[in-house]
Parts: sequence; C-alpha cells; structure tokens
Amino acid sequence: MPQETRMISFSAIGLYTPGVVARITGKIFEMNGNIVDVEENCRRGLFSIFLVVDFTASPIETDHIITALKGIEKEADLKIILAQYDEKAVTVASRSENHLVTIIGVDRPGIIAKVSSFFHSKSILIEKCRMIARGRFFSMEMVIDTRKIALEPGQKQTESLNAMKKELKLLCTDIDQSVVIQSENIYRRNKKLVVFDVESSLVQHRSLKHFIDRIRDRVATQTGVPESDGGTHNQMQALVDNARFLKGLSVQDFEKLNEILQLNPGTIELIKILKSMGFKIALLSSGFNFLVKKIFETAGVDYAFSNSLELDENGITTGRIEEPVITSDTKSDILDFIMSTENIKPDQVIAVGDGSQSSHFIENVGLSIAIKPETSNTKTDGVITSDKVLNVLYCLGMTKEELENYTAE
Amino acid sequence: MFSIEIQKLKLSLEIVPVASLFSHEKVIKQSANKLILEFKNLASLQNPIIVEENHVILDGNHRAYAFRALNFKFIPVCKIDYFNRRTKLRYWFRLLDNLENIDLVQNTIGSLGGTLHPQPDLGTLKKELEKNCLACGIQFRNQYTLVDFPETEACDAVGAYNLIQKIQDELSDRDVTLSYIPCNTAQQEKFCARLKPDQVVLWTPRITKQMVVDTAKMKMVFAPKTTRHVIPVRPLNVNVPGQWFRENLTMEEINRRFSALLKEKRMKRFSPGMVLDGRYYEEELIVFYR
Repeated sequence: MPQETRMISFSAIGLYTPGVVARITGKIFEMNGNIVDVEENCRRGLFSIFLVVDFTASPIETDHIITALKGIEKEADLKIILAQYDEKAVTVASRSENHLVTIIGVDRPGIIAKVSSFFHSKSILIEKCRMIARGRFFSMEMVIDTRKIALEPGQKQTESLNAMKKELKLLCTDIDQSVVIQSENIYRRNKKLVVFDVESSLVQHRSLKHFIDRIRDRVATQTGVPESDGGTHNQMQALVDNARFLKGLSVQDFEKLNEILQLNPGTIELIKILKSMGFKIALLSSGFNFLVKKIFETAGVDYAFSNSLELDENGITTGRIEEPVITSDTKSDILDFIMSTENIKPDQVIAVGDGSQSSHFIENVGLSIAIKPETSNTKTDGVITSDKVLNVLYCLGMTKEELENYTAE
Repeated sequence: MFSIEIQKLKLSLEIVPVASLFSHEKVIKQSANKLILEFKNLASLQNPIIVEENHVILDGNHRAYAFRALNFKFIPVCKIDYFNRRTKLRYWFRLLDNLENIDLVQNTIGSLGGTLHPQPDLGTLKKELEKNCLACGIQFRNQYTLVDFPETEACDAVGAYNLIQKIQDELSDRDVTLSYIPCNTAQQEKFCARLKPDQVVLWTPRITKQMVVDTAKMKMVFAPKTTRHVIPVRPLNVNVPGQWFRENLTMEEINRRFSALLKEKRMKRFSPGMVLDGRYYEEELIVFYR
C-alpha cells in the first residue's frame, strides 16, 4: 500500500468474543486514527465489522499502522481485510437513489438467491440486508442502490425503475412472497397516518361475499335487485347505489347480517399496535357503516368514514342512504381532508387497500400497500399476498421479536 | 352572521353575548371546573355551542358555564330550529352497577314516596312513560317497572328529575356506581342480553322540547344529564381564537371577524355515523378546514 494513503478500510469477520470491538477501536485510537464510518453486526455468535479510518493526523507511518491492525487477526482470532480507501468515491455517492425492499412470506430455500440475482441482473447494488423474521415465517429488508440500474436503449432511469418494481413484484408472487418497495427518502420521513380501505384490506373476502349474498336473499322478494359485474367491492358499491331495495330491513336485521362479516386475522391487533406507535388511524369505506362502527368500538380509530342507511323513528331502513354518499371516487377527497385537518403531507401517509378501483386513492401517498390484490398489475409500492394484515408492520421495520412483544402485551 | 342551509335546515353561526344564554340543566361541577381551567389559557374554541332561537342552550352547557365563570363577554353559537323534526330530544338513562339486590333501589324509591307498577315488557314500559312524562322506570334483568311519585314530590318535570337525582345520590352513598347511558342503548336487544344481575337501569322521565324551552326561559334548571340532543347538522372546527374573547371588542367587530374567519375556510359535509378525532357522531357534520 503506498505510504501517502491515509484512509484505510478495515473489515473483520469471526466468532464473537467479549471485548472484541473495544480491542479493535482501542488499537485505532492508540494510533491516533479517526473512525469515519462503521457498521458492526453480531448475530448468532458470528461477528462482523466494517470500518473506514482516517489516519491523516497520525504520526505513525502507514506500513506500521497496517501491521498493527493486521496483528489483531491473531489476537482476536478474526479474519481481517485491509485496503486503501478512496474518499472521493464516498463523497460522490448520492443517497437519493436508495430504496428499501421488504420481502415477507413463508420461508423456503432460494428466496435470497433469486432476489439478489434479480438485482444483479439489473445492475442494482445491495447496500444492506437484514433478516427481520426467520423460522416458518420469513421477512427480510434490503437497502438497494439503483443509481446504476441497467437501462434499455432510450429508456429513462425512472422508467427503468418502475419496470424493475413491476418485475420484482411478479418475481415475488412467483415465489409466494409479498414485497414492498419504498423510496428510502420517503421511508425515512416520519409517517403519521395509516389509512385503510376497509372492504378491500380488512374484511375477509369470503365473508364479504357471503354478506352480500345474504342481503340479496333477504331482499329477493323485490324485483330488479341489481346484478353487478366485477368483484365484491363493486357489488357492495352496487348495494349502496341501490339502497332502495333494502327498504324495510330493521337495524336488528342488519346487526345480524353484520355478524357474518369477519375481519382479516390480526386487524384489531394491527390497529392497536399502530396506535401505540403513535400513528393516527383512518378507515374509509364505500360500504355500510355497521362494520366500520364495529372496528371503531373495538379498536378505537381517529377517523372513520362510511355510508349510513337512513332509518325511520322505529329503526327501519327507508331505502335511502344518508347524504353525502361515499363512493370509491370520493375517498381521495376525504383523504385530502384528513391530511389538511392533521396538517400532514402525502409522504407521511401509509395507505392500505387492494389497489383496485375501489381503493385507487392509496396510490399517491408515502407508502401504498395492496393486500391480496385481484390483479398482479397494481400500482402500489408493495403487495402483500396473504390476508395477514399484521405483515404491514414489517414494512415499517418492525422485527418479529418486537411484534411478538407487542402482541403479548 | 354566517348561514348554511342544508336540506331546508338553516344553521346560523354567530357570536352572541354570554349573558343572553339560557341554561336548562345544572352542570356537573367537576366537568365544569376542568373546563374553566382549560379555558383560562384558551388558544381557540374548536366548536360552537348549539342553541335554539331564544338562546336556550341545547348542547354546550359546560362550555357556556366556563365562559361565564371566566367573564368572557361573547361566545360562538350555532342557532338551529329546535322544533324541526330532525332535531331530536333524547335522554340519559342511569346505569346503576354493583347493586347488592334490587330491594335497595325499590326501598330508596319507596322512601321518596314512589310507587312501583310492574309492567309485562319493555314495550309497555316505554308506552306508559310516553303517557306520563313525570314518571320514571326501572329495568332489572327482564323485569320492567313503572315508578310514579305523588304530585307533592314531583309537581313538574324539574321536580321529577330532582327525584332521580336524589335516588342516584342516595344509592351512590351505598357504594352503587353510576354511569349515564343514551336512552336508545337501553332498548337494544344486545344491551338487554348483556345486563348483569347486579345492574339496574333507571329510565328517566320523557320530557318534551316545549318543557325544555319553558323551563330555561323561566330560569329554572333540570338536574345534570337530563337531555341528550341529537342535532341534525353539527358544525365542527370553527376554531375561534381565544384571544378575541379576552379583547375588549364590540359585538359587531367580533362578528365581523368571525364571518371573515369562516369565509376563509373550506367546508366539508359528512353524513351521520362518521368518526372524527376519535369521536363517533350520529348527526350530519359540517367540518371547517383550511
């Protein structure tokens, strides 16, 4: 190593022994070195450390410094790699292109290999990789640097980035994993509000279908009950649009029907944990308010908007919906209203839906997550392929242990 | 004055002299004192109180009390048509908990001159109370009882509610815990099914809107937690700066500022059944925001 080089990178791996960090940093201090970057990990008895040290102010010659640092290898039983460090490379580097990728699912061999090969094929650098949960359930967080992402001829970087996100979602769907991709700048922005599209993210799809079918049966005597194309959300919307067919049902009838609706596992826990983390919670629904009220009464939320059936003095539905009616199209306005009231920016919002037309409002926020989307072509930052809504917490960097502690409380 | 008209219902938002208000209920001292402390350094008054056209307070009695106590001259109000069918007068029932046995309630009522008339079911009790607006009721397990008092004890609606207050005070002294529940809750099947053996619901007298106005205008007051008004449309987040109430402004000037403040803001209308800021609203809302 040339004598004039005064920045040294120091990498070491081995088994962890008590005092090993003190031993390394103590030696650096003795030689008047200044640590300018550090990353240290100790997992399951394995130890690794990466340091960049500036010895410019040290009176000791670089060769002697190298020898002294190499000497730690035997003393601490570590494998040490030393190299000169090009400071320009650090200062030139921009952090603006970093993304945080969270992968969640049932563990199986080859997840990391497939994902890392994918990034390699796109010339994307994996800066950091952290296992959040291991066992039958798997969750991993990767920080990737996309500055040098491979471009097709004539392709702009943002286009390439969007194409990469789409491909990664497809790859993860193939290996039965959920994936969420967030810009690191936005990820680091303090989030304040979590907004859920109720029917598409918190209610079990099957129970919603059953609920709609039962209401249809209940009003079967009426003619002209609208048949609706599309998914259950559209059918729910159709029921709201055609509330006149529900005329004559009592509140008690609806309460009984409401018992059919089942929340996705972990819904109440998720809301309670998010609240304890300091988030404001909002529920948006273009369906009826019975279910929303149930969630509000059980978990408590800050905002909840849904449709109410007009009732007469005896608690019987008149066949009209109380105005103004909430539809898929008005949800964006309501979200704007909440953000204005709370004085928060879209970057500080996490929105959860299924990415379909009924929850399209979730697309323009800091982090958008689609739960079990009906199509693979969602425009959201992430896709959770199961109905385990607690997985949303992994996208906020929560580890399995932290989640277990929360749920135990 | 700032007026909003929704489905033929007019809401008038204005600032009126505190001295012009009529209360129809006593305050709960603890709640009132808490508000006085809070309003001493009032940054802004979030929501106007609701009054009818004669300035009888329908909602916001404690806020008005705190304004009076702090010698503020003016207060923001939303004036509504009380006799519109969409403005609903409901009542607070008393849930008595931790009762050793029903005899305790019956004996207390007996000692105050009350007579018990067992009823076959909830529906009949409800009808009987509609007929006699000075009577009250007892709901214990699946037993329903009408209670009436001699005229010497309850000659008017205020007197009837004073007796309710006496009953609850005497029972509280016997370690019975008291909470207030909306009258419609007590009539729900689910609630009835969940009522515990040591719980009793005291149904309060069904007074009328006219009684509320007449009582207030005669400067008489009902016991605390008598009425529960369901307002057809509730304005929220007017956020009037607290400083205005401490300045020596004329009514014209403060109203000019108030109108300008509201005109600067956007309004959003929500149907009944929404949750805002952690509270469930069963009435339609007009929310002001920037």
